[in-house]
Amino acid sequence: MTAPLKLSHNELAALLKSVFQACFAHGQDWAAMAQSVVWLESHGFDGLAMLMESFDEDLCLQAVECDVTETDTGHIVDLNGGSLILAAHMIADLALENSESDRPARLIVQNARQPKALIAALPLCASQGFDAFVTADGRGVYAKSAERSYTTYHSAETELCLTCGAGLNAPQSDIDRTAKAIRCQARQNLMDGLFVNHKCIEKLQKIADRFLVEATEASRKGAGE
Amino acid sequence: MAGWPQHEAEGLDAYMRPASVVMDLSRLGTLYPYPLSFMRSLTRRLLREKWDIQRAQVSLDDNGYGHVIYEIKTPSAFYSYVIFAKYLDPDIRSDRVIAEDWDMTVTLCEGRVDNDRLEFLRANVPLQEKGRVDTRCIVLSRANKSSRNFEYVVGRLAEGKQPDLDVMAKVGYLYRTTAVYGSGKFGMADWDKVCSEYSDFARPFSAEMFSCFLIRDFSLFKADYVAKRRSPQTAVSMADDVKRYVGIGNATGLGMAPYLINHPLLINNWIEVRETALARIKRSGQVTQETLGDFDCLAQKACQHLQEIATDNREQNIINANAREEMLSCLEWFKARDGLRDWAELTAHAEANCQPETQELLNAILLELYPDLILDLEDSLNVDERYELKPNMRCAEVTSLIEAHYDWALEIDFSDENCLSTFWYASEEKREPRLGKRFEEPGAEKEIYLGIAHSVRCAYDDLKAFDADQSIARFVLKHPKHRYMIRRIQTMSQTRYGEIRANVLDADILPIHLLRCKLSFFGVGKFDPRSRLWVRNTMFQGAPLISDIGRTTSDHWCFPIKPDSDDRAA
Repeated sequence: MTAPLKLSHNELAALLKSVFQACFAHGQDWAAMAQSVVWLESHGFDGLAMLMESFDEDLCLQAVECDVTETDTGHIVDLNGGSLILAAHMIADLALENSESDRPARLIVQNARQPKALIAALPLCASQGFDAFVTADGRGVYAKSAERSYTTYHSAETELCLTCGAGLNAPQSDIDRTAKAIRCQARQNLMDGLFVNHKCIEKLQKIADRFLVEATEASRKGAGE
Repeated sequence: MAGWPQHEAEGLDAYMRPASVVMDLSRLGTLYPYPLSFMRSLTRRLLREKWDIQRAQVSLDDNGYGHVIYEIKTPSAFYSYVIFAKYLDPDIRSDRVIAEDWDMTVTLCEGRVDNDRLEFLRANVPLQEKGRVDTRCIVLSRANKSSRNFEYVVGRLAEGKQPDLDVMAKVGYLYRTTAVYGSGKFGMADWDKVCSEYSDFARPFSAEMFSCFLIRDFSLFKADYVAKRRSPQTAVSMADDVKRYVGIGNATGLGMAPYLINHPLLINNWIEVRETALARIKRSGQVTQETLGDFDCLAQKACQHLQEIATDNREQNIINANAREEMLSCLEWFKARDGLRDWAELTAHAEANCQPETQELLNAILLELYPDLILDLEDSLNVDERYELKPNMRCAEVTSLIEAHYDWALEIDFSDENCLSTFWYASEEKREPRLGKRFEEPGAEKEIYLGIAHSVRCAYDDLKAFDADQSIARFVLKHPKHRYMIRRIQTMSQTRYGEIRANVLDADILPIHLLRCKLSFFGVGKFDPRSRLWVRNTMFQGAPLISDIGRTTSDHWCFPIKPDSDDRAA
C-alpha cells in the first residue's frame, strides 16, 4: 500500500483552485471554495472527503442554486440538493448580511448534501468579528471570533443551522473536541503538511488537468520561444 | 483596514504620488531596485547579524560534480543548504520552465542534514517539479551554467590570471537560476510556517533570495575549485573584488506575471512602502553640500552602470542610453542652479523634462541617500492577504466604489476586439503560463483569471442592472461568478494604490513590465529582455561575499560597475 502524500496548504489550495476552475470555469468563486476545503481539512473536519463525495461519476460538480426564504425566526436556505462544500461561503454571506450587533442571524439549511461542510462558514463569520454556531443532528461547532478558536460539542439541536452574531455565548453542553485540541491539530498540519491519499490526489489532478491547454508549437511561442 | 496606512499618520499625503501615476503598468516597468528590495534587506541582515555560513561538506570530483552542503547558523536557527551538481549535456541545457535537467539543483532546509536525509534529498531535489520534498525544506531551486563564461573564467584562473573585466561585464554571472520555488510548492513548508518558525526568512522572498545568494557563492567556489584541479601548479583564486562583481543570472518568464495580478494587496503594500520611503525623503531629506555630493557620485555611478549593461535588445539599449543622457542633463540642471530647496524640486524637474525611466532612476538614487529615514520600513512589507466579502454593503455603494477606484478599467472599450484579443492559459507542459490569441487560437475557454479590468466591467454592468438597494450578498447569490471580483473590489478600494492599472488582455500587452516590476522589488538589475515575454537579468552583482561577513556591514552595492583594475593591482 502506498503511503499517503503530504501536501502543504498552499499546494492543496492551488490544486483545488484548478479543480474548481476546471469544473465551473469562472462561473463560481473558485478561490473561496478551495479555501473552505483546505480549512476543513486542516482543522480535522474532512474537507477532502466531502469534496470527493460531491463529484458525480463523470468527476463533475453541479453548481449550487440557493432559494432563500425569510421566516419569523430567521431564514431558510434551500440548497435544492446541492453540496454545501460548494456553498458554505454563500451561506456565510447571508448570515453576515443578517447579523446585527443586537440580533444574531439564524439560517436553517435544507436539502443540502455534505451538511457537515457548513462548518466552513464559521471562519468566515469569525474573521469578520462574529461568533457563530453550526449545529446538526445533535452535534455542534462553536467559533469564538476574538480567539479565532473552534470547539465541537454535543447539542440538542437537530436541524442544520448556522447562527451568527456578536458575543454569542460558548456552549454549556458536553464538549467533544476542545479549542486547544483543534488548534493543535491545525498547527500540526501546518508544520508537517496534510496527509492525503494518492487516489484522492490522482483524481483531483485528473480533474485539474482539464483546465490545461494542449501544448503546440504555436503555444510555445506564447511563452517566449 | 487593508493596506498600510502609516503615511497618513506621518502627514506624508502631500508627498505621495497618485495611483494614476504609480500603478500605470508601463511606469511599473521602469522601476529600479532600492534599499528595501529583498536582496538588499537580506544582505543587510546577514551582515548585521553575522550569519555563520560554512561549506561543511564538499564532495566534488575534479570537474566540480557531486554535492556540497552549506551549514548556516543565524542568531536564532540552524539551516542546511544542499547542492547537487552534475554534468549536463549542453544540447539539453535550457532556461525554460519545461526543461527537465539542470547543471545544479538545490534546497534550503531546516536543521542539519545526516546521511539518510541527504539520500532522501538526492532522490528528490534533482527531479525538481517531479520530486517530492517535505515541510523541513523551505526553498527548491536550480541553475544552469553560463558555459562560455564559466569555461573562460576557469581557463583564466587555471593559467594564473584573473578574468578580463570587459568579458565579465558582458555576462556578469557564471550560473543563472531558472526557477526558485518556495511557499509550500512540492511539499515544502507553507509561508505561514516560514513566518512562524523561521523568522530569519519571514520577509517576502527572503529565503528565495538567500538561495540565489548561495548559488552565486557556489558558482564562485566552483570556478576556483575546478581551476585548481585543472592546473594545481599555476591556478589562482579569483580576486575578491572580481568575485563581488559576479552576480547570479536569472531568466524570468511569464510564470512570474500572474503572481502580481493575483496578489494585489501585497503589491499595493510593496508599492506603498516604496512611495512612503520616497515621500519621507522629499519631505525630510535635508539637501546639504554632503548629500548633493553623494547624489552626484551615485548618479554618475548609475550612468556608468547603464553604460556597462550589455544587451542585444535594441529597445533596451535605447532606453538605457536615454536614461543616462537625461540623468546627466538633470545633474547639469541642478549644478547650474544655486542649490536646491528640497529634493521635490528636482523630482518635479524630472517629471516635467524626463521620461518615466529617468524619473524612476532618479527616485532610486534618492532612495539610497537617507537610509536612516527609510530602513525602518523593511518590516512593513508583509501583509495579511484577505479579500473578504462585506455582505451588508448595498449594490449602489459597490457601484460607486468601482466608479471611484476602477475608473481606469471602465475607460477601456471592451467592444473593441483588440482589448480582449489576448488570453492567458496554463499549458499542459509543466503548467507553464502562456499567451494565446483569443480569436485565432484554441483554449480561450480555459483562460486563467487575470483580466481584472474586464471582470470589473462585467461586474459593473450586472450591478447596474440589479436593484441598487439590495445587499451585495444577494447580488453574488444571483451572480456567483462576480463574488471573487466583488470582494476584491471591496478590499482594494480601501488601499491607497489599489490594482495595477493595465488591461492584460489587450493585444499589445507587454508582460515584461510586470516581470521588471516584481524583479525590481527583488533587487534585480541589468535587465536584458529576450522578447516581450521573458527577460534575463542579474542578481546580487556587486553584493558582499560570504567572506565579507564580519568584516563589513556596508550596504553600498547598488548600480554595480566594473571594479577599477588599477585599484585591484594595487
